[in-house]
Parts: sequence; C-alpha cells; structure tokens
Amino acid sequence: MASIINSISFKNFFNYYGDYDDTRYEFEEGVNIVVADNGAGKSKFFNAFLWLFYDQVLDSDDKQKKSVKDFAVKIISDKAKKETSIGEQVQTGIKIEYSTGLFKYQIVKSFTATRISEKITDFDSWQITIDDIEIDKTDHVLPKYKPVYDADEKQKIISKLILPTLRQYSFFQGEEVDKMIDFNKKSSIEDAVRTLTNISKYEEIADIVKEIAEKAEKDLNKQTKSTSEHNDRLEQAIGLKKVLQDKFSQESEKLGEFNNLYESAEQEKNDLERNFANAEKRKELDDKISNKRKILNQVKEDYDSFLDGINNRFFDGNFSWISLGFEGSVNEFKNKIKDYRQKRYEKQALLNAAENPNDYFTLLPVNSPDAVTLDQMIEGEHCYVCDRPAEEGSEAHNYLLKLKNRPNEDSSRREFVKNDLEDFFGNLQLNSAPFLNKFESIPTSVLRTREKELELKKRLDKLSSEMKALVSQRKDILIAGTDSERKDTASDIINQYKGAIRRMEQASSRIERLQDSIKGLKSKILTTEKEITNLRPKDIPKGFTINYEISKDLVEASLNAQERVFDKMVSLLENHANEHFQNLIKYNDIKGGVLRFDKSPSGGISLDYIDELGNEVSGASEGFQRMKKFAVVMSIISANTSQYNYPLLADAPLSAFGKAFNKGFFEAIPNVFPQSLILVKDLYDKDSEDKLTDLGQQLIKNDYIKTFYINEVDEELPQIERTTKIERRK
Amino acid sequence: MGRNQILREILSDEEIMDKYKINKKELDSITTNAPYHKKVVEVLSVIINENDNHLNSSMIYKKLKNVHNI
Amino acid sequence: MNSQEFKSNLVTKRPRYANSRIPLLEALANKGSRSSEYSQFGPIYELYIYAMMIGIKKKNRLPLPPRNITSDFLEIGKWKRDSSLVDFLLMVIFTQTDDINFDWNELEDMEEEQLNKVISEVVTIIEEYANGGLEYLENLYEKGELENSHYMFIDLYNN
Repeated sequence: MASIINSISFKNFFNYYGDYDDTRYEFEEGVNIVVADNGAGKSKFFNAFLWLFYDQVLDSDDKQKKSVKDFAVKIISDKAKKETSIGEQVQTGIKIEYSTGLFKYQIVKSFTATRISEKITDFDSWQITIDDIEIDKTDHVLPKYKPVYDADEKQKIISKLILPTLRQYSFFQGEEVDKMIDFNKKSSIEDAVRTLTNISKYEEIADIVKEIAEKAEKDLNKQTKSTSEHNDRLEQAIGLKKVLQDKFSQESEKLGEFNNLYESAEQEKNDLERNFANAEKRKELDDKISNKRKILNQVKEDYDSFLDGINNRFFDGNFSWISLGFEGSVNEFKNKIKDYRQKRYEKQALLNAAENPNDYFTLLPVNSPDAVTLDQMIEGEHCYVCDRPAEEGSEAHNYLLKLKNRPNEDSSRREFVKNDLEDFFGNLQLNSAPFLNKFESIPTSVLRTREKELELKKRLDKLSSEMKALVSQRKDILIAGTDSERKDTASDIINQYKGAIRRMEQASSRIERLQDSIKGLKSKILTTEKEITNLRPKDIPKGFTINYEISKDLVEASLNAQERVFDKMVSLLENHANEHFQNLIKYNDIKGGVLRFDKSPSGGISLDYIDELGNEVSGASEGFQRMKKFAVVMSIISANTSQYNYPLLADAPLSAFGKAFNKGFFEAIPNVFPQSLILVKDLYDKDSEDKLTDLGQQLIKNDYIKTFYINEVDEELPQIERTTKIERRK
Repeated sequence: MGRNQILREILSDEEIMDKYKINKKELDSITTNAPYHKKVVEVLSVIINENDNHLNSSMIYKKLKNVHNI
Repeated sequence: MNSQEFKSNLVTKRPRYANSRIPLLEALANKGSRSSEYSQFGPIYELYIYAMMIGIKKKNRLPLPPRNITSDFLEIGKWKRDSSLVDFLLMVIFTQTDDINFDWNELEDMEEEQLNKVISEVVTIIEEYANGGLEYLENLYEKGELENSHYMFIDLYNN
C-alpha cells in the first residue's frame, strides 16, 4: 500500500510567513510540481522532511545539517521575528497530512520562541521550547481527526510515511543529488536489498544452523568416545579435524580482515582520485576567487569614492551645483554693478565739474571717465556728462575719441570716494566666473552623476554575485574526510594515493595466499571427515549421526540460499534499473551504457556503468549521471515485492538534465512512484507572462501532472520583509 | 508465508535435493508445519519456526535432540 | 578703507551657529569620522553653506538665539580656500536687496566705523539664512522625512 502525502503546510518557517493555512500545499497521487526560484522556498521543502524525520534542517550557508533546537532562530520567518516584541512569543512549525489505504494522519511539529532581548538575529535573544509532536488520525469514513497520544505509536506513524531504510532512496536534495546514493559506499545498495528482502532472516537461520552443527558434532564425538570400541586413529582424525577447523576459522577470519583492508584502501584510493580532481578544481576556483576579489575591491573602492564625491560637486567649480537656481541673483548682480559703476562715474564727473567749472563746459573733464564708460558713450553716441547726443562725426564724438586715445597724462587719480570698492565688487564678479556659466548644464550634470553611479553599482553587483557563485561552488566541493582548512597539495595527495595502492597490493597478495590456504584446508577437512565417517563405530545410535549429517548439510545449504536470495534481488534490481534507465534516456540521441551491479569479495555491491564491450563508461555527462541514480532508485520501488510504496520527493535540476532527459524523466517517474513531489527552479521565468518557461508551459498542460504550484519571492523588498508567495496553477 | 519461502529456498539446494531425494513437486508443497515427511524437512522447519519464537540455538538444539530421539 | 581691506575684514569673520543644531551637523557633516544613515558633507562649512543657500532659496531667515548658546567655526576666507566659491557666495549675498539696507554706492562714503557695522550685518545675514536653512533641514530630519539616498542634498536643492 502506498503512503500519499495530502498536504504540507508551514507556519513562520523560513521564507513562509504566516499560519499553516496561509502557506499550504495540497498534493495528489501522481506528479506534483512546485516551481520555485532559489531562495523562494525550494530547499525549505526538504527541510520540512528533515525536521519531520530527523529533527534537523540544512543550513544553506555551510551546507551542514543542524539540529532544529540549535538552529531555531534562523528557522523562524524574518518577518514574524520582526513582528514579535520583547516578551512576546512566535510559533514556527510544519504540518503534514498523509494517507495510507486505511487511515489519514496529520502530523504537526513545532517550536515556540519567546523574545527576550533586542537583537533580533542573535540566538541569545530568543528562548526556544520544542512543542510536543501532535499527531491526529482518522479513518477515511469519519471526517474528524482523533488525537494519538501514545509516544511509540506517534513515532511509528512518522516512520511509516517513508521507512527509515528507504529514505535515502526517496528524497534527493538539489545539488546533493550526487550524495544521494553514494555508489562508492558498498552499503548503499546492500541496505536496499536488505530492506526489500528478508535476507536478515536467512542470516539468522544460517547462524543457528552453524551453531547446531557444531553442537551436533560435539555430541556425536562424545557419543563416539563413550562406545566400547576405542579407536586411536579415529581419535586422531577427530583431533586433526578440530585443528584443521580451527585453522580454517582463523584463516577465514583473517581473509575477512584483509578483504576489508583491501576495500577500505580501495575506497581511499577512489576518494583520493576524486579528491585529486577536486584539489585541482579547488585550486582553480581559489585562483578565480582571489582574482575576482581583487577586481571587486577595486571597483568597490571606486564606487565608494565616487559616492563620497557626489556632494563635493556642490562646491567644485567644474560642476558648481551650488549655483543651481541662482541665475536670478547673478543677473541681479550684473545690473547692480552696472548701476553702481554708473553712479560712480556720475559722482566723479560732478566732482570734477565742481572743481573745474570752466573745463566742464568746453572740454571733457581732466579726470576722464573710465574706459568702459567712455566706450559706452562712444558706442551710444551720447555724452552722459552733459546728457546730449554725440553723433559720430560730431565734435563731441570726436573729442570722446580723442580722449579715449590720448595717453594718460594725469596719473594721480583724485580720490572721489572715501572707500573705493570698485575692485571689491569687480573681483567678486570676475572670480566667480566658474560658478556663473553652469546653470544650464547642472541638470545634465546631476543626471550624468546618477547614471555613472548606477553603472558603477551595476558593475559592483554583477561582480558580487559572480563572487558569491564562485564561493558557493567552492563550498560544494567535497573533501572526503580531510579538514577543509588543510591545504591539500598535489604531492600530499599523490603520496596518500601511492600508499593506498600499496596497501591494496599487499592486501591483495595476502588474500590470494589465504584463499589458497583456505581451499587447501577445506579439502583436507573434507578428506578427514570422510575418514572419520569411515572410522566411526557402527553401533552409535543412528540419531546422533543423522543429527550430525543433516545439520552439516543444512549449513552449506543455508549459506547458499542466503547468497542466492541476495543475488536474485541484485539481479532483479539490475534488470529493473536498466529498464528504467532506458526509459529515462530514450529521448536522447546518445546511446547510454548499461548499469551493472557487481559484488565485491566482502559482499558489498558496486554500481558500474559499462558500454556494450564491458568497458567502464567514463566522462558521462551530468544528465546521464543523474539518470543513473534515478534509475536505481526507481528500481528499488518497482522491484519491491513487499507492496510497500512511498512518495518521491525530488529536486530535479532540469537544466542539468537537458530537454531530452526532461521528457523521459516526466514520463517515467509516474510509472514507478505512486506519488512524486518534484521541485524545480528551471521552469521559472520571471519575465514571461505566466512566469513559466516553455517547458513549464508544456508540462502544466500534461495530464500526468496533477498539481502545479509557483513560489515567488518579492526581491524588491528588503531581506527582512521578503516572504514566499504561493500560487496554485493546477 | 515467509517461513515456507525460506524453507523451500534452502531445501532447493541441489545437493540436498539429491541426497535426501526431494523432487520438485514435493518441494513446492512442503511447509514448516507438521506433518513432516522427511527428517531434514522437520529439522529445518523446527529451526525456522523456533527462530521466529525467539528461541536461541541452545534451546532449538534441545528440541532437535527430541526430534532425533537422542 | 579700500577694497582689499574691506574684503579682508569681511572674510576674517567667523560666522556662528546655534548649538542646538549640533546633532544635525553631526548627522549630516564630517563624513568619515562619524557614520550616519544619511548622505553627508565633509567639513561643517560645506553643510553651512548649503544651509545658507537653501535658506536664501526658501527665503527662510531665522535670527540666532542668544550668543551664549551659539558657537563659531571656520572663518569665511578659509572656506574652500583655493577656490572662488566664497566670491560666488558673497555675490549672491550682496544681491539680496531685501536684506541689504544699504546702497553699494553709499558704502563708499561711509566712515570706517559704519563700514564695519555693515560688515557685521553681512555676517548676520549669512548666519541667519544658514540658521533658517538648518532649521528647515532639522525639521525634515526629526520627522524622518529626509531621503535616505546619496542624492538627498541635490534633490532638496532642486525643489
């Protein structure tokens, strides 16, 4: 029977602000799609399930899982935090409804935070209490939920949604798709096989049978000893068998150890190979990052100093923003200075006239007017002194001309005012020149300043986001088992690599020797056993011999059966996986390889990807790599004989898949999973009319797709205001 | 039934079928419940059943001794 | 007194501002030493000049409070020393006919004592327009109506 998720609701959970009813997704059987851009709630979805099953969430900053209690403050919606004053409380939680054939369950997990001080983002400013898990259940007949009180039953209900051992095959989180099934870990497929078959039972039986066989042998030997016929050779043989058996056990144990050593060395070699590739990539990124940082800092500096300089433009003569709006004053000043000079001249003239009355009437006064006024009079053909015309050609005009051209005889200028401020005012005008002629250009200047600022800011933002992307990429590179702070130089890694290979070789040769030795022992034991059987007295009660025979035979048989069951399941998985794989890649032009599950000496399973000649396919594109894993995951469901089904929750990086894969993917998934929740960002196009890309529009029309949601975050708002808005399209 | 499946799987071993003369038809019809037509079937059935009853190997062995009358 | 002396007497004066404006001056000037959410000018005189010009634009002239609660700062001549900014400012001041109750030509006949009084009056005009401008800014600042952008000052100036 399948478990189907009916709805998922959030309360003040990361970007989801508001109560459960405000952010509620309803899902159906079949394919459900939630379209969300990064930061619009995509990974938060996974966090809900991480909380549900493990009381953890993923910290998107360092990609580590953190416990809900410790990380609580960051989980609470920023907007909700802001609205909670000191002393008040806010609640954050998730609510999931799911149905099995018989029942429908509602699970609520939440915590309450009380604000105790000012700094809203400090973990110390909040007191966190985890609320009791609330679970309600109803059969499909009655509409009302009834609470479940028993703690064990609550846990069972949570587990039932997706069984713990199958969880790794049920949800794939974004960029961690690669970690989802780590095919380098031998246990990854083993766990699936274990869950899907009852192989543990076979193991139990085999163990018991082995112990029983030992006991049966002991009893038989005891019986043999106690009969009358005393047989030295028999005793020797029995003794020998024991010795051989002990040696056999010892060597088998050693063989096991060396197999493990070999495998761990091989694992290390593989990790190092990966790491080496990573180390190179890391260095490449590190170089890119430091270069980008240099440029970023320079541009930032430029930007900052530009901003600082904006207000300087008021006082800088080149921009002269301070003069904006003062054209009037400037003109006023021009007029006033003209009047002022005019009056001065008149004053001067009058003074001269008073002192030299005779000159006044026939000649222009000795203290001639200044050159400017003289020019004005000549131009204007008018004598200001006597206020009568002086037309060109007239005597008066000629005299003016003569005056203009005559050398300055009288150097001592008679002072005609107490304070001669001509220079003061004249210089004000002269010196202010830079500020006087910019009026018209100031608006343009302001506009250009704004444009330049925007340009710089754009450049800065672009560099910042490029930087962020690089840093994020850098964080994603796994460094298996090593401290990420340590500088893994290429030579360190090569040395480790060589060491691992050496250990593999050593282990390998020991393994070979042990295997030979064990084989030898086995056949010796067999011979001895035959001898013992022949030497045994014929009058031992049959029961003992039969007991011994049967249990010995069962030992072999049970071990063989265990192996058969295991192999059958692996083979079944392999077939199913290849079927799915072909379905997933069927719209691709490139022929993919074939998946093969290989058993390792120690009993683990590795997944190989080979071509038709049996060679390992390397360098497959990301799309193929992802499809491999999906194929295996799907096989685990379809090969499932126990009728247990569970929903698929996947972050589908469609752009990594490519168009052909997308088609195959969306066709194949619903055939295997009774319900799937697919989160994508690649279908979101904020500039298109319905916010969807072409593929998105196609998918929404598809009958397979049962529900379709779009998450949006208003990026115009400041970080603390941003919430996720949910829109249901289907 | 899981137990029957395990029983049949183990006994389907070629050497067992040979040595104890179990044919295919018989194999398909045996269960872990009495009556048992062969000792080997009985022994294995006891082991499988009592394992599900959480008996350990010593306790199961005691039972088997009874089966063999020893 | 000649032109040189007149100018010199004028530009050695140190205008005053009301102490109550200090918070505003700290918020809007002296960038680099005190950070503020708002755009800032550099030295205080820049803000002062700006305030004065805004005061003149808005015809907002406000007498200073009693001397004991005012302070002075940099002398006029040292404002943007190597530029002709001060000349421009004086140009603007000397055209404020409503405020200047003397005639340029009258100045030329005044006694030294009187002339010095005129100089003081000019400084007073500067101070009072600056005060008016600062008051205007202070109002916006306290009501939270100051625009939080780098263009705050030019936008206000453009109105």
